[in-house]
Amino acid sequence: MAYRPPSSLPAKVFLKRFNVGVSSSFTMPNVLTPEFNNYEIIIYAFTPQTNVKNPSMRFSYNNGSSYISSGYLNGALIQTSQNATTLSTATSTTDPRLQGTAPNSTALAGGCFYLRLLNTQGFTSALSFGLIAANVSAVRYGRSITTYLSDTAVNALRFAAVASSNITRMFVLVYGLRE
Amino acid sequence: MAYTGPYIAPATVLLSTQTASNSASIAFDSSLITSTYSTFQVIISNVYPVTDADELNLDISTDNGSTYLNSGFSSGDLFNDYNSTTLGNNNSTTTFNLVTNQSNNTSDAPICGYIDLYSLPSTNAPACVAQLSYFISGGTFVQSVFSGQNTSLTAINNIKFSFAGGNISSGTFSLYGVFG
Repeated sequence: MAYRPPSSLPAKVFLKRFNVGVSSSFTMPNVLTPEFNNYEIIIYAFTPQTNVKNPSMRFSYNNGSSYISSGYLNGALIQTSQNATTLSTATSTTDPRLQGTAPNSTALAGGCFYLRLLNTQGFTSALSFGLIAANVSAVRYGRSITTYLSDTAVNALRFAAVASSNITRMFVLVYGLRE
Repeated sequence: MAYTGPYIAPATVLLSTQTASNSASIAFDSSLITSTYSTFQVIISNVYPVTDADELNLDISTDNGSTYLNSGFSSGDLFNDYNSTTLGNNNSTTTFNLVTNQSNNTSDAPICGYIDLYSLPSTNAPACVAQLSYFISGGTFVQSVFSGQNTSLTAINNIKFSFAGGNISSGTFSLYGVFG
C-alpha cells in the first residue's frame, strides 16, 4: 500500500496545461482565482517567429476583458552569452519582459523557464528564472522581476512576443500553490 | 469520473502558513522541521518591516529555537535594480541575510520570493538558495539571487525569520516539505 503522509495537503496543485501554436498572443483567463495567492508557471519551448523578440506578459484585473498596459516596474537580467560573465538588461513599463533577449526562431529548446507569480491578490510580483536558447548551440540564462504597483488583484495573464512577432509555439503548465 | 487508482503521495506538502502582524519573528519548529522531508521550501509574500531600511534574516537552530546559530555561515546575494546590470552584494558569516535595506513604505512593493532549504534535518551542512524581489528604502525595485551554507553538522530542527532592527509588520510565510 502506498505511503500516506499524515495530515498533509498537496502543496502544489496542477491546474491547467496549454499547448500554444502559432498565434499573435496567448491569453489565460479563468485560471487565476482567489483560491490561490501564489502560482508556479512552467513555460518551455517558447519560440518567436521573428528572432530576438522578448517573451512578455501583461496582467488583467477584469478576467481578460482588458490587459494592463502601464504601471509596471520590470527588468530582465541576462547573461550575454553562455561563456561570458557580462550581463545586459531589458526593461519595460508596458510589456514586462520575462527573459530579456528572446530565443531565436530556429532554436531547438526555445525559452524554458519557471515563472513564480506571487501575491496575486495585490502588489503582484513575478519572478522568472531559466534558459534562453539563442540557436542550436548557444544557451544562456535569464532572470527577471516584475511588479505591478497596485493592490488590485489580478486574475488573468497575456503572453506575447514583443514587439510585433507571432509566437510559433510555447507550452504552459500552471500550478496553484497553497499557503 | 473520480480517480480510483492507487493512492499516490504528493511530492510536496504544505506544512504550515503563518501570517505576521507586528510580529517579532516567524518561526517553524521541530514539529515541522523533521527528517520526514529531504528538502524544505518557504514562500514569502507581502512582507514589510516595521522599521524602514531593515534587514530580513533567516536563522537556524539545532535545539528547537532555544538558541540560533550565529557563526559558520557563508552567505550572500547578488542583487540589481530592475533596470540596471550593476550588481551589488550583501553577505554575512552570522546568519542567512536574505534582504538588506527593505522599505517599510506600503506604497512600495513588499518582499516576495521563494527559498529552498537543503540538508536541514541531517548531519550534512545546511544550505539555502533563494530568489527574491523587494523595494530598497529610498531606492527602487530590486531582484536578488541568494545562496548560503552553514558549517554545522548537527541536524537543524527550527528556522526563524526576523528583521534585524524591528518587528515584521505584515506578511505570509508558507513552509513546504519535499519528500525524497
